[in-house]
Amino acid sequence: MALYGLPFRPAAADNGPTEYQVKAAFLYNFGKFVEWPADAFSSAPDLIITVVGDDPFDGTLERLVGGKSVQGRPIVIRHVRSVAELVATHIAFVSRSEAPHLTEVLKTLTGHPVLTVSDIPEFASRGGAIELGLEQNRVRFTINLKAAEQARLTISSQLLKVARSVRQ
Amino acid sequence: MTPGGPNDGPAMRPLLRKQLLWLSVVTSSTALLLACAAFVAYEVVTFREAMVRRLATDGEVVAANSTAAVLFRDAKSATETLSALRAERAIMRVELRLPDGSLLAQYLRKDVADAPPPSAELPAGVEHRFERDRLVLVQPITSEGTVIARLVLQSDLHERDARIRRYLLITALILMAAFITGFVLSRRLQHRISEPILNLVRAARTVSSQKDFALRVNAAPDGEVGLLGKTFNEMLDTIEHQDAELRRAVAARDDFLSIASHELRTPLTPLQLQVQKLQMVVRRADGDLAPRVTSGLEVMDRQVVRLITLVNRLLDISRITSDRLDLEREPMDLTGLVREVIKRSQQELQRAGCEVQLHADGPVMGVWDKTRLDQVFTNLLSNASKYGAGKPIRVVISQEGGHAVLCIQDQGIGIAPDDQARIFQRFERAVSTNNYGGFGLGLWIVRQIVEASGGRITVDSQPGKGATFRVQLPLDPAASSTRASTTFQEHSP
Repeated sequence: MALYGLPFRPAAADNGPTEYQVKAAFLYNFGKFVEWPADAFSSAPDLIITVVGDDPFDGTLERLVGGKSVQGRPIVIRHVRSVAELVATHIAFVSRSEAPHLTEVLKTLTGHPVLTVSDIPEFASRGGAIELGLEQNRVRFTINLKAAEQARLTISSQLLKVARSVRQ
Repeated sequence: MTPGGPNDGPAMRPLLRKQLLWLSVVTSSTALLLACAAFVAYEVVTFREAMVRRLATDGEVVAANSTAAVLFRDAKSATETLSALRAERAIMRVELRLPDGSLLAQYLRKDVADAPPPSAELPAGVEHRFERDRLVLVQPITSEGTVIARLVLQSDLHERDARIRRYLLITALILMAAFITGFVLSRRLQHRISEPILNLVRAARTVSSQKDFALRVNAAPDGEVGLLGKTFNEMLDTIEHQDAELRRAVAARDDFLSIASHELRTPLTPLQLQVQKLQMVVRRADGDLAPRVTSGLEVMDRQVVRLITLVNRLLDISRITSDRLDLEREPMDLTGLVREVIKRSQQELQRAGCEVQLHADGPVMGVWDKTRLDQVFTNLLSNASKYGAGKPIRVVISQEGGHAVLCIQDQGIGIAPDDQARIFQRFERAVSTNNYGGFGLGLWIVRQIVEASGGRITVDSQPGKGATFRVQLPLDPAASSTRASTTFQEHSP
């Protein structure tokens, strides 16, 4: 837990969390401030986080979040090579490796109750829900509220307040 | 009079009233003070609880709204959330600390920007603590059942202090009002209690000073004071009854004494005359029977004289008690009288084995009743020989200022200090009747005569070392009557 959202240090630094450790914690924490429609959990009560494309977390996500639950739901982490393999998920982290197919990925997920998160630049303006970015060595994020609404997700005002910027 | 009698009367009145007054005022004030203290204590405790509750509520709201800011380490957002506490004027400082102790955000009230942080961290488990000038409360911020940060809120105690000051002021005002009201009320009401008691006191004082046993008090119909009044009246009934009985008894005794002494004396005078006549007849006739008859007649004569003396004493008492002791004053010489009495008492003195040494510079002239003074000195000399244990008796006559002083000093058994005042009273005697005869009337009569002559008699003695009776007589009682009466009063028991 000590790693949660702390301003990370560059990889060269001796201690402190790395960029992706912080991002992994963010991914988990987003789950606390987002409400999914009831039918999103019709098949199973678990909250599924899927990493689409290459895994940049290098196992951190499993170590940090594995075995935890959010809003009373156990967290399950999955990995898929491409959006085509995606079956059911609540949070989809789109890896930078998927940047070339981003339009296709987002199009596939449109209409589904899935919170899309990515650190691909311009992710939010291109229709993603939450875009992770860096600001003075700190991980910050931008929220595209319209995208979230289209996915029938309700984002807590607390999260909106903490966001670097919010797109309507 | 008992100590603290009538003279203490005037001082007692305000004391009783004062006590009643203070009793009620102190009682009511104390009760009220206790009630106020309990009220203030309860209010202060309640207010402290309310303060803690309110600060905890503020803390909970801020904590709930700070979760995202803490989780995403957004100091700016956290600071904004904390600054919402501006609305609570009492909150001086709020700190949002992460589990490692680092400060994520804080809020400082403008006027306490430089105020030092709390003296110490609160121990784990303690949620709030009152310090000298502040209340410190710790509110954990949790997410998914885990403490992710702690809010440390500090509130000043101005409101509590102001409230305590206000309570103390109100308490003081209430007490003052109650004190004044109680004072005024009990001043008016205490008369109901003190007045009947004071009436009793006044009545008792009148009874004891004027000996008016017919007096009665108006007793209240019921209650303790009423009972006291009734009992007082009953006591007066008894005293009045006994006083009347006593007076009747004394009158009867005095009547009896008067009649008895007269009746007893009547045959004594002819008896004495007959004895003396017989003595003369026997002295003239010669014969063998002369010595035996002479000595027998002498015994008879002595006993008759003694009997006459005793009866005369009874008569004197009768006269004194009925105020019929009339002094026939004439100019006379005290020294001459004393010599005469000593000469006449030679026989008695010889029998007692006492030698009399008379010391007198010369005649001491004064205006006195010769017969009565004769009686006084005879009595004192007789006592001296009777109790003188056969040792010399010293008689000194002197003149001091306007007084003649007559001292009779024996070296006999003496008189114990306790008995010295008593011997001048009627029917009192210091020694037992078994060893020494007499009615116990002699010194009483002596004193009455001396005092009636405007003089005084005192005794100075130690048991076993003899006694000195000192009679002081004004040379002319008529000229120094004022002084004599003063002397009389000072030495009356």
